[in-house]
Amino acid sequence: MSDGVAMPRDGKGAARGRRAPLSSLWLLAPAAVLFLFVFILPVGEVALWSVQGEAGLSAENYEAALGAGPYRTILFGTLQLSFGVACACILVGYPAAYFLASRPPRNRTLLLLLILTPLWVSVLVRTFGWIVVLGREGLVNSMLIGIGAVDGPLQMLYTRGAVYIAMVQVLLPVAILVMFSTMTTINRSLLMASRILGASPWRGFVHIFLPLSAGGAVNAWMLTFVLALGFFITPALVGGPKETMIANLIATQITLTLDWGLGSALGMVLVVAGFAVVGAIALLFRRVTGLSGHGGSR
Amino acid sequence: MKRSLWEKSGRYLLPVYFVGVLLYLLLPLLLVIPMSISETRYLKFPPQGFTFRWYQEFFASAGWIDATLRSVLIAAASAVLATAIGTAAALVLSREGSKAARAAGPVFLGPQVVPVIILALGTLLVFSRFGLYGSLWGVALVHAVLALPFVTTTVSGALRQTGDTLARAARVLGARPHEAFWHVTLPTIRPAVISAAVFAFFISFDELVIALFVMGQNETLPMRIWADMRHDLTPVVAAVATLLIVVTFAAVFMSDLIQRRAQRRAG
Repeated sequence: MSDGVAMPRDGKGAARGRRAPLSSLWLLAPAAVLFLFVFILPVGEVALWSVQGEAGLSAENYEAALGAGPYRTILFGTLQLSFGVACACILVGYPAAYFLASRPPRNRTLLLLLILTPLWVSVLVRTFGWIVVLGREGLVNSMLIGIGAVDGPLQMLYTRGAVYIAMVQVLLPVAILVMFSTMTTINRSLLMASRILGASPWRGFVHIFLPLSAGGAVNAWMLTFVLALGFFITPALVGGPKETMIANLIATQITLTLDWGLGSALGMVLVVAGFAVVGAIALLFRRVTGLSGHGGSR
Repeated sequence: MKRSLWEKSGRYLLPVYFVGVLLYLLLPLLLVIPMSISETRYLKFPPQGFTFRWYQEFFASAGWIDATLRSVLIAAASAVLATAIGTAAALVLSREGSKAARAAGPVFLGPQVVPVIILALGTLLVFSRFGLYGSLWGVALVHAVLALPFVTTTVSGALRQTGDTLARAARVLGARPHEAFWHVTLPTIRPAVISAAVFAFFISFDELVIALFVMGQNETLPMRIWADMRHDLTPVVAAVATLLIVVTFAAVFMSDLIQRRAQRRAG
């Protein structure tokens, strides 16, 4: 149902009815109101708090957040970790997405469902699973000791490696989904044409499939990077103090030290840094390939 | 010989690799289940003995049950709200060539791109200003915003697939807009609406960060799990996690089944 105006029965009126009548735009109103009060307003409030000092407008919170010291270290650590996690998601996910896209549609659905199901399980539960696997008396340690590879349990939890493994597991389905949807739009007869013209399958992959799916991979990278920046649960539960991320720092500022201004500034820095990196990557990709992230598949 | 290597890898290596990825994604989840029936008080693999004690502890604890009920209430309210508002928006957004759709589409993706921690912080600032700290309805509203993009994409996808020819026909035959919606459009997109509602429910039900910032003493289930995991990590967490995994998997497969059956019926 798409128009709110009664459609007259003569041809001229029908033509007018085909155009979008303004009245049904009101259906967007509840969503817009919800958005305004529950998304724009809170984010605006964070921006406001971030520039509030003891006496009116001030940049002191940003100076504290960006000046040399532990906060800047944590900010760079967060960017670095998110960068690594996003790259790992693409490298691990690309072959899986390729396999999925080359299946016939019939069994593709089930395989995709299996990949995506973990997305709907709470991140808390997924992280708990890694505690079972990597813990002192967890699966890996009991197996290693069982076959006599090590004498005592290895310290795997509360390390950077554990944070990597758990974060990539949480974000991998997202990366696979984005790359897979780009790959399904690639016209496979191009590959067949290259075979007929004498190219090896490998050559066809490198010169046709890879460039056409690169846009999807870049989009997947950007999405996983931005999502990784805001991670809170996983680093707190399986990482050590060195793996503290900005989100954990913000939580500490808010709940323990009660410095809402500094917490807000850290949050704004996180958002801006995220957008800056994503914008730079998108620009670079367009410059290098002449393609936009979305158009690459056509 | 490159050619045969490539072909071999396509036939054997890739499927094996894919199974490896599936194990990486699913195994840690499935391992939680045996831990929940192990007799030891701390997490030890392989599980020792067999007991339902941790499940009994969960169901006998007022703290756990209150937190669960609170989460169910918030998630239900949030799902109803997000589904109703999101479906209404999708009716506009799914119209091709609509200027409003093109302008509003990216805006609705906002909550997916801005880290949740920012929204959590902003929510705390707004709630403390308006005295909403600890409010169940308040947090349900915020969760609804998180779920909104999922609802609009799912429902407008279904709307684009079915097209609006039938609804237009109903209108030409004299149906009012709301009648055309209830009797013609809604029945065709019902499976998408149901699965959107299911997902909206779980987005709220599993959400920790916002709840942690604004709920205070009104603990939700994820807050309770979080507290337990940070402090003593009892096997009760394994039992709760198992229940959550079973419920989530059942819901996802059921909504998938509904969607697929509808697709088959549509031809």
